[in-house]
Amino acid sequence: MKRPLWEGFRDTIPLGIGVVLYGVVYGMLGRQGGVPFWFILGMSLLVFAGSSQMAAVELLVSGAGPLSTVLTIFVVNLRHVVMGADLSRFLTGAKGRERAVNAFFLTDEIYAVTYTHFRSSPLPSAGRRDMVYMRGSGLCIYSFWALSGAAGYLGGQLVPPLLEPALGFAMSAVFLAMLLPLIRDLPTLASVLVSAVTAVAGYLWLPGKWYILLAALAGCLAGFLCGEWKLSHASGRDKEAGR
Amino acid sequence: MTTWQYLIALLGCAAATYLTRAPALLLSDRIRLPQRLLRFMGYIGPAVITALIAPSLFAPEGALNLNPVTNLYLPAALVTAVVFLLWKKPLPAILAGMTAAFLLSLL
Repeated sequence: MKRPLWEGFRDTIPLGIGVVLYGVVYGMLGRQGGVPFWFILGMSLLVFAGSSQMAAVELLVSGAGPLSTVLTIFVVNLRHVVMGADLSRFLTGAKGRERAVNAFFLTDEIYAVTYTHFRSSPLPSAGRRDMVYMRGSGLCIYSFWALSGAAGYLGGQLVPPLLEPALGFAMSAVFLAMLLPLIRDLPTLASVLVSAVTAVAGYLWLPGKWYILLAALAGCLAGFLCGEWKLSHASGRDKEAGR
Repeated sequence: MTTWQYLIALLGCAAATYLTRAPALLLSDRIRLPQRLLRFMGYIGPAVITALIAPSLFAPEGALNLNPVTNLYLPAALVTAVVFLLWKKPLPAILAGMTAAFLLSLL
């Protein structure tokens, strides 16, 4: 194995172990919902996005059609655009084809590991070497994720019915644990609160799964407006102080 | 759901996901997204995750239920949040929340 590839793989192993639990929960959800095994594994191999895969399974099981599922997953994944724009400034020396391959591996975990790695190496980055590092990191999460999803699905039948309430709460627990560390400032809190209220109201009164898109939009808008207000407020204060 | 519908969902999700990952990495030299748009999109993560879980927490049976005695997801979510805030690690929080949901269901 090429060295940077192994380095990226190795640096990501701790996060990979964390991914296993998510993978097992994902596989179990699929089995519980009666989704075929090839779909559960195929999603891990071709989509490779944990939260979207769980959301997709949940949507399909609750009767959403394939197209509205795809549309919702697109919105869930739009956050990758921000991560990609953030990482790309480190990848100035990389070729188009390499970028296209690496784009597939752009997940939250790989973003976190690669971002830390790039930050600690001098700019402008070495390009090729860093692309290989990122791919190693991606391969680590990819293999852990696919294997644990399959294991959760196949082992899911061993779970006694008594434990089903715990499994029913699993997805909420996983998403809650993803959400809490994101709430670091007032605009994000506003975004979360507005999204929660909109989602529940939309879920109760709107047809289908439109509440997810509506709540996401309302939440983004609330966070953005609150953030812009904070920015203009802060710059106004700076001007006053500098006078 | 037929096999075809699953196949469409699978390939559609794969394409929809890759389409959100590739452009910024591929076109970053040529196109710069406006800062305001990036700031707006920065809230997509928390807003979407909230939208995905809020109904299952507050209306698990399809109707609004804010009573923590009959809706066991509410105390289970509280346990998850408290363990996360104390420990700052997601895995113990998830396991604690699932354990709480299990124990409460026995009551």
